[in-house]
Amino acid sequence: MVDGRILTAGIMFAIFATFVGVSFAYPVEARFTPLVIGIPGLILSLIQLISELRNKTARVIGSEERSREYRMFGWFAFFIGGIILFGFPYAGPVVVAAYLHFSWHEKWYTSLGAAFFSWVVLHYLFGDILGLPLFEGLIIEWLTY
Amino acid sequence: MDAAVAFSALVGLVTTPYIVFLMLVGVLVGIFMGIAPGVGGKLGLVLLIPFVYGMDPLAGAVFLLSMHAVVHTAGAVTSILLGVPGEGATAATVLDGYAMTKRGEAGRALGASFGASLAGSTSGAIVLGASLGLLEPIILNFHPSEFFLLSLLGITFIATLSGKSVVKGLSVGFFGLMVSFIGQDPSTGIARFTGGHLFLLDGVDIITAILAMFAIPEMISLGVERQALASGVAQRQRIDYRQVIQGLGDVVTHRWLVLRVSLLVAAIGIIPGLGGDAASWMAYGHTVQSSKNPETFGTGRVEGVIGAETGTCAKEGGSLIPTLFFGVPGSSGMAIMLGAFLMLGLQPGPQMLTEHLDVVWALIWSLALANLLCVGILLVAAPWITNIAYIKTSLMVPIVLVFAILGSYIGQGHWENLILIFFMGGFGYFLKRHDWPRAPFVIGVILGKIAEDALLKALAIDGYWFFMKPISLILIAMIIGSIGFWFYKMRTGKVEIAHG
Repeated sequence: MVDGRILTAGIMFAIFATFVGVSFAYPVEARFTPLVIGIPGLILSLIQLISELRNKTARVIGSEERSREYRMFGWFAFFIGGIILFGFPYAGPVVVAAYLHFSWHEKWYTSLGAAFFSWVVLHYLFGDILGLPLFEGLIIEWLTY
Repeated sequence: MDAAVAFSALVGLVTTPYIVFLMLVGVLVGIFMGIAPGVGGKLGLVLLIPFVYGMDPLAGAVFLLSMHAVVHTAGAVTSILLGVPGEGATAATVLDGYAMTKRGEAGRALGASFGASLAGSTSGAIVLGASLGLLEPIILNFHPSEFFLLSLLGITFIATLSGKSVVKGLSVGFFGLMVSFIGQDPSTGIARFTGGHLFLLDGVDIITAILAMFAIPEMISLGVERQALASGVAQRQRIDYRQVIQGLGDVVTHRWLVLRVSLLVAAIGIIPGLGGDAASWMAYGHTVQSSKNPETFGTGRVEGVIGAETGTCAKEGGSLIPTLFFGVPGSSGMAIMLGAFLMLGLQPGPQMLTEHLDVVWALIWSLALANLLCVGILLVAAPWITNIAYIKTSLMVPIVLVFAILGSYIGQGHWENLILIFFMGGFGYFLKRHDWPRAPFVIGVILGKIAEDALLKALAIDGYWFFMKPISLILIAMIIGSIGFWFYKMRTGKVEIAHG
């Protein structure tokens, strides 16, 4: 498995390489500033990548920590996916309760209490008092329009 | 003239019930953020930004600044009573404050901390107010070339001071700048780096970028590590109010220390990058060095608490100077504040002095008044307020995540920003995990458009030799000097390159 340090430095290098590469497709005026910043960034990220590749003292991550990391990213994806599909007013409280109960093994009344709190803040504070439009989710929008 | 503006700003502030109410709410939220586990000032600011969408610029700015101004003051409560710093800036308070608590002098330490916070924030506000007259001719002499170089200087300072590796810091800062270039090019109008996505035409939402780099990685970390920050750390403390009054008296006794530290730290706070945690450690360092018995610090010296707390609060006034007048944030917290100002429609720069002096004075007053309110509340409620530190971490994670995701949506109303925050937040977590500083990213993403605009103007006015001007050369020397100083520190073993 690739070391996370090398992967992070590699991603940073790839980002700069992409930005610089794409810049050349633009007219001179549009690519000037991105290249002024992007080329030094590319060089710096390459130095860091080489430094990480040469460094032998990698931090060992236990399988338990790695699996907690995967689970947490799974939950984060669940939050984002749930809200994109069903919107803040519906998915917000549900993901809060689900995460607390299934991930932290909180009691149902604690999980539902936190979900109720989120619902009140989302619905009343943001929706009614502050009058901010809350995204209703792609599925809800598709069903209602 | 200035005195009249200053006075009318104060009157306007305290006679507008809506603003007073917002200030009070800001202070209460700031107290919560300062004490609650895993939140802190920067994350608190980011999470509050959705609440100020559509607000009047002055009201929104006062609300956010009131919250930001008191986070450190409140954070001292857990530093002293539980030995758990609310955030980095209050860590210096733990050394002597918690030692005093263990010795049975918790009340005295709290009193000293509250008095010093109030004195520090007031001094910082006075320094900021007094410097306006001096700053005006300097600021008005700055041209686009200097503003471009100031942006680079801000990133360089933050990059060299915020992490172990200057290479990582600069890379992240430049990454932030590149992200800010996404969207319509200001000179040709063509879409840059948008990949054909319409929602990116207006650029990456600053708030989404900040949330992705600060809020999301912190919450993922809490979710992975599952540490209860204050559980079982200490027993609840009884506060003796006679001791609190004694602590307040200590601040008066050590008034020259308070004055020295206030002036020193407010001046240091002006330098971008030093307006963060470094300022409070410098204040503590000065307190120790100027003592006749430096070896006794860390064992419960009240001067240690006074020095650290004065410094922590005095820097805010100083760090507002580059933020408001040059658009270069003095600290990562101020970088987020700058993003919020831009979102509210307040454009930092020289025009803040020439056109919005009333707003500047309102912000100065709110710095001092918010701390006055906060100290009043803490004096009455400190023993009960510490209960906030025992809030379950598990409750913070999902609720903060939902509000962070909401914040990324509200700014532009694009649901695609939720996908952006997922990927950027995930990358932010790996940056945090592998010791890449994230503060330079925020400064880069905020300053990017300002820097590009300044660079294009400088090129149009002065051509490619725009940097051959006295102020520009000084700024270039400072950029090179800060990187050179970092390499000097690295060679002398004070920092380690790349790997810690």
